[in-house]
Amino acid sequence: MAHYNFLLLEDDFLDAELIVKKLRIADMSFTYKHVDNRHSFETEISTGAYSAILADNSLPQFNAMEALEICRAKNIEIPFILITGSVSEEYAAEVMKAGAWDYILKDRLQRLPASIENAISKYEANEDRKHFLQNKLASEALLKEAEQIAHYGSWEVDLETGQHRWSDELYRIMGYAAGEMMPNYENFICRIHPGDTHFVQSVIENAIKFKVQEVCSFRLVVANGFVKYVSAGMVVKRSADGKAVKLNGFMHDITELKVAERLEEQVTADLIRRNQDLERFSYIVSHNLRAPVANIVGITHLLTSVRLGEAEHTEYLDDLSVTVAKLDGIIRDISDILHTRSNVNENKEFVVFADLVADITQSMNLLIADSGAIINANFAEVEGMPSLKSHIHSVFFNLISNSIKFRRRAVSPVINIRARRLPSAIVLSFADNGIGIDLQKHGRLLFGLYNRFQADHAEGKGMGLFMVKTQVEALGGRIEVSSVVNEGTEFHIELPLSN
Amino acid sequence: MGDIFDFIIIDDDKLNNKICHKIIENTCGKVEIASFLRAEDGLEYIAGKYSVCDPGCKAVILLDINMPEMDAWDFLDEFANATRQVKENVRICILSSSVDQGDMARARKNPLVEHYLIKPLSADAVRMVIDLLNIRYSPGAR
Repeated sequence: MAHYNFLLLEDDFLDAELIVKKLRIADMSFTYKHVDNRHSFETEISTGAYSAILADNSLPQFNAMEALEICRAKNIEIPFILITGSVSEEYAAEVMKAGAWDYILKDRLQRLPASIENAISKYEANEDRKHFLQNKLASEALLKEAEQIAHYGSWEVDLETGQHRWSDELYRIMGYAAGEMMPNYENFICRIHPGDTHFVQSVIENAIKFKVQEVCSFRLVVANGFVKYVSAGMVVKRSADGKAVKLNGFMHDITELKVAERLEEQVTADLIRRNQDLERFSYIVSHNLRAPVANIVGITHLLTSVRLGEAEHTEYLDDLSVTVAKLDGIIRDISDILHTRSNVNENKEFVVFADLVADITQSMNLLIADSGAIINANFAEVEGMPSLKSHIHSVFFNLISNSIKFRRRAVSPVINIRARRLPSAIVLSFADNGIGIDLQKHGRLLFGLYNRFQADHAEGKGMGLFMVKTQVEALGGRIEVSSVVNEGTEFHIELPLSN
Repeated sequence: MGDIFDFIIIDDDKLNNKICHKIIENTCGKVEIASFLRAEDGLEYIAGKYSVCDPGCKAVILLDINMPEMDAWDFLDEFANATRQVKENVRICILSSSVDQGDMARARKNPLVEHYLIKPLSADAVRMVIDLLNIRYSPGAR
């Protein structure tokens, strides 16, 4: 049985007793507090400990209307039941309007218990409903926030009434303001990337006809032509005869994920390439170190255990010195290469391309004169860039000297150098009219260390192009080559401009 | 009794060829040794000399792996197209400074390669090749 706690506002002591007696007769389980003035009423009602207020309509310097006003001001909504002597209909109506739940005449007190129970159960039902609504609103707010954080929108379509419902986040994903317009199929379709519209429409049609659920990924195009990637799905609810009646779905904005994916793929590809480079590098180094060592072992064996004539003996000693020097040279090369790879951030300065060309042609002037070489440099578009002078100088030097070295017989070498500007990089191209390279045959190893694939041109260790590639890559750039045998070769170098 | 074999050294390293020459002479005595810095030149020579069916007209090649223009693998591919006679007369060993497992495995897989020798060529290695191919060498050599 419910237990109540009443606040009884009554100045007449006997009347108060009567009320209490009537409630006891009705077997109500209750406790009560009797107050007879405004101050006590206000104090008590503020405790929030009462289930209902039973009030006389008029006390000295205080009345029911004022009491109701106090309750309203304090947002107290518990049932307020007026218990009064005879009163006019108008007054009764006024008091009810002011918030009283019921009024009971003092000579009809037997009605009181039922009235109280009625009022309280209505009040509790109302409170329940309010809590329910509050919770529902709170959890909806939570859901909205969660959707927003996850860039996840939800939607619903009633296929029978044609009514669409979109969550706030769904509007946003599609580039609208929440509630901007009526959600419908057209407003959805018009946001799909034209390349994917047909695909999405047929997936939806197909799902409605045959499926229980479906997911797919596609692109949206929102304001400013901005492209988004989304993953969307839906569940198809069907009536007993299999007809689709409702669709419940989601749309997840995965643009950030996609972008991150792309970046990761690129980084992975880069890493794999670098790793392959390193593997090749270490193979070559170990091989090129071993070759002279094998010769040293061979010669020392001959010197120590085979009978040799004096001339022969001296000859082998000479060979030995040469080979040891060669070995030393390789070790120094490795040191240079490793140093080149690592020292990129030191000493960047503005490198003027024309100055480099002038400097290089000066140092090669004999070679140029002998070969009749012509070097055309076009730096009208870009005169230079901030970078490591030593690296850029080496690139220019190696490519120019290669073009002169690998010229066609009886044809003077012509080398065209050009610099172009891209939004965030500079492109240098070196084109010659030399013997060209069979890229099908040698392309793979072109930039390899110690790779000499033209045995006639025995000078040089085959490090030039390897160093060029190492230096370009150390600057964050790329190098590409195209060539036609007996016509010429062109190198393209792209160097990023850092902000 | 085995046949007398000529030696053919194919290697772009002049010094190596000189050393091999000396070692082979010391081990086998008087024997014909030809050396080539370019694998193509070696191929030409072999096609010319060993396609004839002459008794005692046999050779063993000591083939280096890493050479510009045509390396050992290219050479072996070309050699596979040679006449049956040439392939009967000429046997191939790889002689390389490489101790790389990949290279050794690749050589093992190739049916034309009889053996993989590691530089520098030693007298023992020469003797082993001789025994392997049942080569007869002139007496009195050491």
